[in-house]
Amino acid sequence: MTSATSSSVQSRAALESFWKQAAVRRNISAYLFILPFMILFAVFNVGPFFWALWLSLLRGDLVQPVKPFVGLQNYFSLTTDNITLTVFKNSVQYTVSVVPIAVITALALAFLIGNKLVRFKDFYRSVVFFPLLASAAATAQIWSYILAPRYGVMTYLLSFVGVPEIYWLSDPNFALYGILLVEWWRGIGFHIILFLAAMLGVPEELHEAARIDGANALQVAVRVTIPLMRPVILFSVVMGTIWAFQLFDTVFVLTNGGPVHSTATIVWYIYNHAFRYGQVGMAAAMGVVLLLIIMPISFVQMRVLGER
Amino acid sequence: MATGTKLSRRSFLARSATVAGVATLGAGLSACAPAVPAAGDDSGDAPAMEVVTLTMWKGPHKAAGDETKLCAQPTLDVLEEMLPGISVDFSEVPWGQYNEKFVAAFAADQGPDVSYQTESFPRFVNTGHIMPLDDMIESTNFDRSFFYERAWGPGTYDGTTYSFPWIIGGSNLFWNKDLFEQAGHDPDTPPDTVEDFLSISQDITALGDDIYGFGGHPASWHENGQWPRRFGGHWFNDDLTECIVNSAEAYEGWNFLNALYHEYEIAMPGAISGQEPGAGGYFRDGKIAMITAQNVFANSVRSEKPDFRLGASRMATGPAEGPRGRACYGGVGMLAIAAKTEYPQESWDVIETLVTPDLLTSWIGCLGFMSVSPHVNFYPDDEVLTTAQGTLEYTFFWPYRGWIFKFWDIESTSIESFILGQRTVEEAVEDMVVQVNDMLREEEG
Repeated sequence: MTSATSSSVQSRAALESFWKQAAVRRNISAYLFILPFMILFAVFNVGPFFWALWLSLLRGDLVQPVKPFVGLQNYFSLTTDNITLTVFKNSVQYTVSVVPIAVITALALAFLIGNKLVRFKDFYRSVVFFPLLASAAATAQIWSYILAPRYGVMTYLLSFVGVPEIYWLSDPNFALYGILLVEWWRGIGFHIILFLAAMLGVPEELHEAARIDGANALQVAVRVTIPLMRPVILFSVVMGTIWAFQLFDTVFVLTNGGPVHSTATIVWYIYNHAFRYGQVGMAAAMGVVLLLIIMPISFVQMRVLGER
Repeated sequence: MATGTKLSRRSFLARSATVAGVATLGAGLSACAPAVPAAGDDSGDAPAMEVVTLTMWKGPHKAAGDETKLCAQPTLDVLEEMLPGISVDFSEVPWGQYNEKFVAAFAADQGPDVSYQTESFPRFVNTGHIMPLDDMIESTNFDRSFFYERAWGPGTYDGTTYSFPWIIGGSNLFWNKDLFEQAGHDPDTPPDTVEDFLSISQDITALGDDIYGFGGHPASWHENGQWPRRFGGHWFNDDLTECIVNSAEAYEGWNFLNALYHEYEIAMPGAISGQEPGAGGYFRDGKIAMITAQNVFANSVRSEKPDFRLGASRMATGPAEGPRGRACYGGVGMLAIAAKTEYPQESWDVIETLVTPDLLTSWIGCLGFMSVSPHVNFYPDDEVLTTAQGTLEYTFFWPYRGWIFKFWDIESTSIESFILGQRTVEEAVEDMVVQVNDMLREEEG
């Protein structure tokens, strides 16, 4: 009896001590400051994530009040659907093409714009960033005219250098690269602005020291500047990869996944299942699989590029 | 000397954070609370008439905003004069967002009171979001014969009427009279059979200068899927449980379509017509002589090129007998009422008024569609559109089912694959039939 009472008093004391010392109590102001964000994050990110997980186990239309539980059936169906395999292949092919191209060209252009000899830097920064500010649907529509076979500006310009007519958006062998071209134009500004900011953060003394040691401009860039930009390049690659896997709006407007599914991407197929085919469970299952693809890829990228 | 309360940095932060937290919670809670109705105007002596505002959504059939400005709002202004207790809040929902907006709205029981519905509307009927209309039709003694009898079909599901026919559209053969003349053909005589069609196309293609006798979008589910019908094939069995478009007759149609592109080479290559400005644009530019397109196409050609010598008629007939030989796309757009509407009677009043002859002409005639009623002629003085109205008997509706979008995707991709030379006709058609039948079984299951 005495022992039990003593134990109860001890545990109460321990609990009180815990709350006195608890980080929550000590940092209540800080937690209140982040409360608005956390609530929005919980409502618009965490909640939908778990809802999507639940939906992936159901069958039926989004407008259906009661959707039967089918367990992992939707995940098994993904493995037998030929179009699912095609859209995953397209998304991977697109990502491994667009990310290196965008990052390398953005790096080259950032060096060009950041060069001391170049004047009107702010103007060039605005020009490269502008496509990102414009509506994706509107710019995609404009590109559909630029890339048109008979009357398109691109066809006209390429004819001067002897390039035959390319059916950028209607030839299944080229269409994904037509999309890549448009997305490269839209997204490159983001990478350039990041790289320009990172270049400004590299101490000038290091450049001077390298030059005194006899390094030429290319050697300074490759041996000094780029290694010091590694965290930003890593961020750029990870974000580029995530965006590439999430490609949707340009495809939706320009090709609607065609011709013959050559530009169909995972998110395009998710959209179709959720809103057109009335199969929200399949759509949610694909979303979960997409997450499972992006997470390890981002992890590997961070490990590989993050190593010094 | 006054002594003010000293606010430490820490307490300032604590108070600010508390305010921020409370404000966030307050905003969240207020968003969940029902909206308080606005106070009515009580300044006058006489009680003001209560005006019910109904929401109405429709996909646009003109450039963004033009339908509202030119056709919808003038019609709704008249309607609101006729029905003084009702105001209609009309929104154009772009086709690109149509599915997601309707699905999201109905899933949240926030669907519009009155909506424009097309082939996919059974998915909303099946899930109880659309109000049956039979009781209303009976109680108001609405004369069903006001509409073409077949126009009721798409809005009738399992014997129950869920929607009013409102728009009827169909495809015709349009031709460029100048190109007919240049190739030595009578500009006023369209081809009567597919053999004539082929022969005229060959003569026109022989003109050179990148001109083709025929053209179409390689992925057009509207038009390409009609070829097997013209040769006697059927897409489905009677109860829509099996796709049978790989019959011998259907294959004749598929092979003929394929030959137009790859054997006779009288059709503009799909890789060209599949991009901007599209088959319609090339037709307007005099690069394609014949095209099958919905009858509203006539208006767009004439508004962009007023001098264009445009011919319109029924399609040349294939070997199939009767209207099937000249099969073209047809579709009905319908007016439906949300099952969860707070104002069923007012919504009914709106749709019943919108189909009166004057308002039908004012809105649907303004869009350039055909009349859904044999008692109303929108264009008595327009030879081309009057001809187009006469071709409605040759139009075939696709099944109005919840799976229609998936079916169209399978259909258009499969046909596109042989038009673009990615697969043989047989590979494409057999694969398509398997996919469609799998889809039908899945839907049944």
